[in-house]
Amino acid sequence: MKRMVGSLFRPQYVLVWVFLAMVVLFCVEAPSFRSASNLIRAVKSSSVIAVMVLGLTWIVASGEIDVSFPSVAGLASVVMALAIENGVPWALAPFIAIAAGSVFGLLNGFLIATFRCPSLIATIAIGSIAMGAACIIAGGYAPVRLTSTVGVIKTLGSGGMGVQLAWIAIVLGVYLAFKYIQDHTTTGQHLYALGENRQASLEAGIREKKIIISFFSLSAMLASCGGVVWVLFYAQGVPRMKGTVFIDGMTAVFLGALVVKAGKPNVIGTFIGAIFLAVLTNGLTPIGLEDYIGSIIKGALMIFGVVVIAISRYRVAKKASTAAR
Amino acid sequence: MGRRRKGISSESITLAVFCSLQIGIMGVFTVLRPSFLSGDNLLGLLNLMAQMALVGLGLTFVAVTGYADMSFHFVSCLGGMTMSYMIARGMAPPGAILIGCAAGGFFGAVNGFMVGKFRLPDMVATLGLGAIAFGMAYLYSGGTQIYDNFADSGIKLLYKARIAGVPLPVVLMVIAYAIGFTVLDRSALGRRFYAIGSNATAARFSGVRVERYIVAAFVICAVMACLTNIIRMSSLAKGEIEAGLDWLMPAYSAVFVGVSVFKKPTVVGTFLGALLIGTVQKGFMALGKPTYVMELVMGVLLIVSIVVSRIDFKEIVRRRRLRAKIASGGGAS
Repeated sequence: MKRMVGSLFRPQYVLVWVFLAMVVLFCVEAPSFRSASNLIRAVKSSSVIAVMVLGLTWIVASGEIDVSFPSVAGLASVVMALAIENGVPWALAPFIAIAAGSVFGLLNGFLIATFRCPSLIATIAIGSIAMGAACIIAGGYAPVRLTSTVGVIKTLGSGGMGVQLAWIAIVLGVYLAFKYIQDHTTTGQHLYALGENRQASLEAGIREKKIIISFFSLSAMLASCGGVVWVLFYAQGVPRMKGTVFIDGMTAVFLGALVVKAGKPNVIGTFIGAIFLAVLTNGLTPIGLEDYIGSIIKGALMIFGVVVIAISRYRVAKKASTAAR
Repeated sequence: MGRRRKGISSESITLAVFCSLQIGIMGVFTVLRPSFLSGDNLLGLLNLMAQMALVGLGLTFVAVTGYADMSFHFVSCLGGMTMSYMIARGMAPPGAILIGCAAGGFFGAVNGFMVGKFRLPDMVATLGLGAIAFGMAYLYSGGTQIYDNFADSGIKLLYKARIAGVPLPVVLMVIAYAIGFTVLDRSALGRRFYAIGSNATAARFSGVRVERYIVAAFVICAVMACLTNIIRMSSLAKGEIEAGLDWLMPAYSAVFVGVSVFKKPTVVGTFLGALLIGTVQKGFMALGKPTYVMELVMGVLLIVSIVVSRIDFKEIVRRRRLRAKIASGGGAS
């Protein structure tokens, strides 16, 4: 029993405690936080971010980085919005948008795997191309608004609690599928092997190029899905996503890395991270704090997270060295 | 003859390719717009690239030590807003600029300590600090633009003033690059930065105070980013929070176009990168294309330069010679 209680305070659960404390604080301090409309808003923003950075999670886990996801999501949202505006049936538009976004992921993977380009640089370059392309087809930086929100889009965008719960269920389903791949297949093993030691995994015969290209394509595809969801929720395509989308996405992944597998990005962690961020963002206004305080808290949490991981690794290493003696 | 051929390094071939690319691009724009080569326009080009070159120079120091900084654009937002707030409060421009840069320098130092002293992973740690800086940039005005005192405090001179006909940002760029080149390429100090980049442990055992140099690199990066954003704000004549976010891409582009020429981050390389990107941007501006086309152009240029740098020209020439030899040899016998 004592051991079980002790295990709850291990570093990988610190974030969960912070999260619970935050929820309790918001509920007590601000009754409006508990209102249905606020919860719906939280669910909306968390599912957009959660979908957008699901692929990024694996990329970071394999030791690479993808900073192009906000631009790719923006491009997909613009393509989707314009397609609907120009009379493409709503069931077809998402596929066009996702295909358009995925091309950039393929390019990312190709540059990184074939030309051995650092992933930060490649994704910065591809991200700027995606953003430029989105602005060109949108005709400027201004968002493309849907003039008439009909049928499914209207239901999804302004539906009640039931629709939102269905949404969260879908997103959770996707995450569980990804968790299965991550924890129970060789692909998942290869992923963490690449992150642990690139050279060793190459020698062991992991086909790095194939994995890298498919991961970056997957990441862009999921980022595009995020863009599509954005259009469904907010009825507009945004060529230039705000700086906060980038911070939120990265924070979800890096905070998520703290949970479950202490220090390694994993899909369940990212899901928790995304919900965490949504609750934080939607709880600040009801308790009377400005939005930008959220950015400061996110940054502080990120640094806090890295420090916790660094300390726990240091302790493990110390324990191992004393045991060896 | 054989000896001379040996003397041509792969590096100089890449450099030649880039110079011809630069000249070719200028040629194309001159054909499209004959006024492109006029003195005024070339000065305008230098003025356009000055900001990119300044922020790139700072990032070069961090890149040389082998780290990545994901925070300088966020920090530059804070530096710029600090400056704007000081101007709005009625402070003289030099003081406001100094305080703005100092605020950035502080965050740079924290970055350096986190990464160099406490060995935290560079991308996460700097991104976290960047998010904090970005949030703090909102503290001054709550997100609205700051206009007060911009018109008559003289801060606009930072962008508009000319020294002997040359715009002040260009003068600043030349001074900064002269100092940067002397420090990184012509002094023992610079060798130590490079030593840390190639092997930090070896540098430590050679008696280099690694942490100090890493802190210095991050401070330089943050201060240069703030200075650049302050120049940008003086050209906009207002304090705008999200203005600084645009610096991430140009800075990395300039540095890595340079890396693809010289195979490592260098001051000269960054300058060439900024020049190349600036030329193309100026050309598209002359053709009347909107600003968002620049993003696309910058991305394409970065990719082209990476791809070009990965092509081994020597190997291609050697193979072609070999093939020609075999073909001619086969014909003779």
